[in-house]
Amino acid sequence: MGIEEVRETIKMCRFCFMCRHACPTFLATKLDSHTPRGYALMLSAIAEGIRNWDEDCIARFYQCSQCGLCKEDCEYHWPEDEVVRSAREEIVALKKEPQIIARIASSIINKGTPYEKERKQYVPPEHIGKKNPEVLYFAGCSTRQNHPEIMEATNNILNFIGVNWSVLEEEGCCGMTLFDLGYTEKAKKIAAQLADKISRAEAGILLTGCAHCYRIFREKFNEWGIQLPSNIKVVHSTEYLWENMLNGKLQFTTDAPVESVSYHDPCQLGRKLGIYEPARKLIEKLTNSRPIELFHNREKAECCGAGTTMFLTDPEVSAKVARRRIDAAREENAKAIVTACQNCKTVFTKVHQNDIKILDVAELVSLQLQKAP
Amino acid sequence: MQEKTDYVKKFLQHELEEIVGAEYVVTDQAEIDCQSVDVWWATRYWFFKGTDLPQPSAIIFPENKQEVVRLVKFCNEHKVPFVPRGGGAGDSGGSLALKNGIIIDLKRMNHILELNEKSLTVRVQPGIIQKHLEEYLNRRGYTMNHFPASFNTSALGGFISTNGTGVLSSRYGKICEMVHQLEVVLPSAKIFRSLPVRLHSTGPDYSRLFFGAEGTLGIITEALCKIYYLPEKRAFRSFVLPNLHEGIEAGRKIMANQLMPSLMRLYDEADTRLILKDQFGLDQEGCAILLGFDGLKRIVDVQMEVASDILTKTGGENMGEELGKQWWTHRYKSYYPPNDYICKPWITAVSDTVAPYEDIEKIYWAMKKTVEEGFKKWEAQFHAHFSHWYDWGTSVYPTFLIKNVPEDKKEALGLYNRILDACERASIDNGGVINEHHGIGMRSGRLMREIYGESYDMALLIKRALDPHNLMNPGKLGLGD
Repeated sequence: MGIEEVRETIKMCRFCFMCRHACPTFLATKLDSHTPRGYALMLSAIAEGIRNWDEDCIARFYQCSQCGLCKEDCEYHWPEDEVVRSAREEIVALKKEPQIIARIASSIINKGTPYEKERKQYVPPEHIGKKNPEVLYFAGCSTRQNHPEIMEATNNILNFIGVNWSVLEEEGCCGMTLFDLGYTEKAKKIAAQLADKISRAEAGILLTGCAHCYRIFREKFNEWGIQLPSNIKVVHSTEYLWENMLNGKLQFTTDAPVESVSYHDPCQLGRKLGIYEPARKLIEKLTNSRPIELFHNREKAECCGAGTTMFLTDPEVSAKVARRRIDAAREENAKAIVTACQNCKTVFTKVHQNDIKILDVAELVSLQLQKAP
Repeated sequence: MQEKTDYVKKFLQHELEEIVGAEYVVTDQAEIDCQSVDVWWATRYWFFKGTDLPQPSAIIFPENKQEVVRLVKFCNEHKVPFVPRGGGAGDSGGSLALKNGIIIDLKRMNHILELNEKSLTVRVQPGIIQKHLEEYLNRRGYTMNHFPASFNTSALGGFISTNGTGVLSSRYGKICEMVHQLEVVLPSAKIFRSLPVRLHSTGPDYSRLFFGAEGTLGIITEALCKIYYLPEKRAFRSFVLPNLHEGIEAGRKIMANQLMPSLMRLYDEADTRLILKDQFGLDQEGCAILLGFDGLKRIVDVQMEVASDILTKTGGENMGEELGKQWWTHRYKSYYPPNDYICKPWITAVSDTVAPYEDIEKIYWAMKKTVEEGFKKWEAQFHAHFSHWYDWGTSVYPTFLIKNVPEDKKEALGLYNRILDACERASIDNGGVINEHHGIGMRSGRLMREIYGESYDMALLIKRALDPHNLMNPGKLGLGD
C-alpha cells in the first residue's frame, strides 16, 4: 500500500514526457504538474526530501481523473494512474487530504453516498428489497442522485422484458470512490458489507449501469478476496441489453429519436475492463447505423472529465476536460453522444450547449421499446 | 523577478494577471519544479542533488499574440528576464530560467488557423504538440512528415527554435525547410512577419534568424508550414553491412544519386546491438541500415530497387522488410523507460554532429576514441547512428554514457562537462558542426565561440540590436549573461 508499491514506476516515469500529449487533464489545463511525469517528479522530490507535501501539490494529485489513458498510451504500459492513486493513499495516511475529499469520504463511510442529501429513489415500492429476484439492479450512488431518468429507463426495460427484478433496500456505496480517493482499507470494508447485502438478496443477475460499480464488482472484489455467491452473474447494462436484444426479449422501433450518434467509451468500462462492443452494437441496431467514432475511441478514448469524483471535487477542471470531449464530438458532426456511465452524462450535460443530445444507452433503448404486433 | 521585494512582486503579479487572467499566472512550486526540469542530464541531476537549480518566479500562459506582445512590453518595462517555452522537453537546458524571471508558456496557443489544400500549407500557432498537428492533418489526408523523437512531447515552436530534424529528414528536410512563413514577437514587442514565401529576392529571408535561435531573439507566434499528401505506399528494407565505412559510402551513393529515401538510418555495431537487436529482435551482428521510401507506389518501388542494388553491391545482406516496418511502427520505443537512458542514474548525453561526407567518418572515430580512451577510467561507452542524410553529407548521432557516476556532486558535474566538451571538440576539430538538431541551450553555449570563431561577433551584434537588455532567454547559445 502507498507509494512504495509504485516506486519503480515513479523512477521510470519521473523524467519521461512521452505520454503527456494524451493526458486529458494536462490538455485541458496545460500544466506539467498535471502529467504523469509531473506526478512522478513531485513524488521523487518528496521522497528525497527536496520538497514537502504542500497544498498545491496535493491538489494536483486530486485533479487526475484516473482515466488510465497515460498507461494505455505508454509503449510499456507503466501504471502511472496507479502512481497517482497510491500517492492519494499516502496523502490520506498523512491526513493531508483536501477538506472536500475528507468530507466526501466521510459522507460515503457514514451515509453510503458522497452527496450531502441523498435523493429519494425512483423505484416503485414493489421492486424494493425483494428476495430471490432474477435481476438485482444496482443503480449506484451517482445514478440514484443525479440521474433518475437512467433509473426510470432501466426500470422500463426490465419491466418490458418481464423479468422479476429488485433493488436493494439500502444500496449504499460500492467502495470504488473511496478506493480511488486513497481510502483503500475503508473501501474494502464497505465493499465487503455490500457484498454481504447482495449475497443475501439471492439474485440470479447483478445488473449495474454504473461503470465504476461494475469495475469494483468485476475486478476489485476478486482482488480483495470478497466473495459474491458463485451462481450470481455480474453484468453491465450494455451487456445485459445486448444479450436481451439478441435473444429477442427486447423489441424496438428503428425510428430512433436521435441521429448522427457518437459513442463515448467510459474509461472504467472501456479501457479498464475492455468492454467496447455491446454499446456500439446496440446503437447500430437502434439507429440503423454504426455510431460515429470519435477520433480517440475505445482504449484510446479521452476521459469525459468526471473522473471518480473530480466533477464534485473540482468542477472547473472537470468541465474543461469535458468541453474537449464535446468538441471532439462536434468535430465529427455528431448530434448526440451516447455513453454508458452516468458520470460521463453528468459532466457532458453540464457543459454542452444543446447542440448535442446526451443520453445513456439505457435511455436510448427505453425510448424505442415496442411490443411486437 | 529576482531581487525584487515581495511587495513589488505582488504588484508585478497583479500586472501579469491583468494581461492573461489570474488563472494563467502560475506561481506554485509544483508547477515551477515541473517546468524547471527538462531531459538534459544536468537539470535532472541539478534538481535532485539540491544544487540550487535556477527557477522562474512565475509561469504565464498567454492565449494569443496580443497577450504575448503585452507580456514582452511588461518584461521590458520591469527588466524581467523571460523564457519562451513550448513542450519544454529539450535536452540542452534551453528553456531553463537561468536568470529567474518568468516563463512564457505557449501551450494555450495551440490552434490550427488555416488549412490550404491548394498550396498545401497549414497555418498554426506555436504551442501545438506535433502529434496533435499530425493527427489533424492525417484525418484530412495530409502529413507534415516531421517525426522527431519528441513527436509526442514537443511543440512546433520548440522545433523551430532548435531547428529540429525528424526521422524522415533525408527526404523532407529539417524544420526550417518545412516552414514558409514565420510570425515573431520581437524583444521590442513589435511583431515581425516574414514574407509569405521564402524563396524570394526581396532582401534576405529574415525568418532564418529565428530557426535555432532558441527564444533568444523573439517569441514565435505563428508558422505557415508545408504539408504533403499521405503517401500511397511506404516501403521498408534493412541490410547488414560489413562495416561502418561501407555503410556510409552506400548511404552517400544513395543520396548522391538522388534516390530520396525518406528513412535512412545506419547504426554502428554497438547501436545495432543496443537498439535493433535488444529492442527489435534483429538476430545478426554488424552495422545495420534501415531504409524507407514513401510516395507513389510506382516511384517507391523503383527507388527501393535501385537503393537495394547499391547496398547489395556494397556487401550488404538484405534482411527483408520486417525490421524496417517494425521500427517504423514502434519508432519511439527507444525513448520510453526502461529503454531510454533518462531513467537510469548514469551520466549521459548526445553530441549530434553534421558534416560533409569527407569528414563524417573521421569525426565518428575521433569522438569514439575520445570517449572510450579518454575516459577509460570511468568505463565510458559510446554508440552512434547516422540518421539524417543529404547529398553533400550526413549527421552522426553519438551517445556517450558513464555508469560509474562519482558520488561527489561537483566531481560528477565536472566529469559531465569534461566528457561533453571533449566529445564535441573531437567533432569540431575534425570539421564537424555541433549541433545537428538538439540545439545548444546552456549545455554547449560555451563552445559557440570555438565553433564560429570571430564570426560569432555578428551573432552578438544581432542579439544586442534586437534585445539590448538581454531579457530574452539570457544565458543561452553563448550569447552572454
